[in-house]
Amino acid sequence: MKWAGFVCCSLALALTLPGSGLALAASGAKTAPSASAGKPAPDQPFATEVLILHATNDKKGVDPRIGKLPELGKAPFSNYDSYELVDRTRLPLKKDEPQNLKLPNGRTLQTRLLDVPERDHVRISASINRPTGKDFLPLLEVSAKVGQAFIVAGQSYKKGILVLVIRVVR
Amino acid sequence: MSLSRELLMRYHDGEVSPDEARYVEDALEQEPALGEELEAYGELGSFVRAWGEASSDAEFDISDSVLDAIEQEAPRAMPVRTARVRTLLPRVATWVAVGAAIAAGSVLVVRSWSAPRPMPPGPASADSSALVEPSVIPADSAALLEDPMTPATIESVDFGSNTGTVFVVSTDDSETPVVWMPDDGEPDADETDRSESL
Repeated sequence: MKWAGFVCCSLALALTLPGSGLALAASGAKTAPSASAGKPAPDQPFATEVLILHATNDKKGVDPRIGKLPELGKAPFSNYDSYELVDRTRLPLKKDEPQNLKLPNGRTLQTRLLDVPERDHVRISASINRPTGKDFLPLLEVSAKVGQAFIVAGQSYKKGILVLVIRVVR
Repeated sequence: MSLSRELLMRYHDGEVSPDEARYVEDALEQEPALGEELEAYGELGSFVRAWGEASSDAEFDISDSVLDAIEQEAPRAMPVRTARVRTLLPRVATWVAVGAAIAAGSVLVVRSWSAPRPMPPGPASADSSALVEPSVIPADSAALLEDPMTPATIESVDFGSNTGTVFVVSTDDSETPVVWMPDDGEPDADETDRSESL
């Protein structure tokens, strides 16, 4: 089986990677725009819409202000039964003008436009810094079209975690 | 509770005794992360099946090109904690990600093409039924959902001194890349209380 050989090769490569700095790549075949994204306006500047969600097991369900986000019903997000919208912010995306957003846990999310490879398609970077300035998530680079989102989750906060839904919008 | 990956894999394949099944289910209840790993096995299985079917149908062999691509990428990935994958096919990146995550013991749920999503044989998340689907859906959402889009791709991620996982969460109509970074327990120099964090 040729695929079996490839799997073994992938595993072998993985074993050579530094454990703590394991860097992975993932792509979604289709990423649905959120309820709030709307149809992109071609002439508007790019921006990121950041939803800050607080996931807990407080048995409160999903805050209706979050809108349609079926990912929350899938593992590992389904390990939490309550999602509250803490903040919804729009950060402009401009080259050489990183945008900072203070997170509820005191850390800072920074987003920056890296490149616009084609119409309605951007490459952006994101990072999360501690109040001390030390990096929590030093660097994340994402390629996405308008309406597509990615999620950064896992930071502990008030008996739960923070879930950051970051979507490219116009 | 200590649970070997071999036992978890056998549980996924339904090849455990009743006693072993009970043992695994107890462990799954105590450690939700194991459930995610169990689901990752299902995802991996779907990859293998879909890839095998594609290969048998089209007699299309990409193994050589894949191995070449990996050999070209590996030296660049090793000195730093960032892996660049933009020059590789998304599926290749996905396979590397699957292998890397499982080898490192991380939890990974990845799917990059439309293979049927199997249901894990283990118990579902106990609290998933408590989720409430929001009732407010903008009118233009449906049209946007039908718009075929190329994947959003996490090109590189540097976890620094922390550990993390990259995976894709699949739903009926979306697949969203996720960077999951549990707190490392190192307190920030602020007054935030993380002592009861999950």
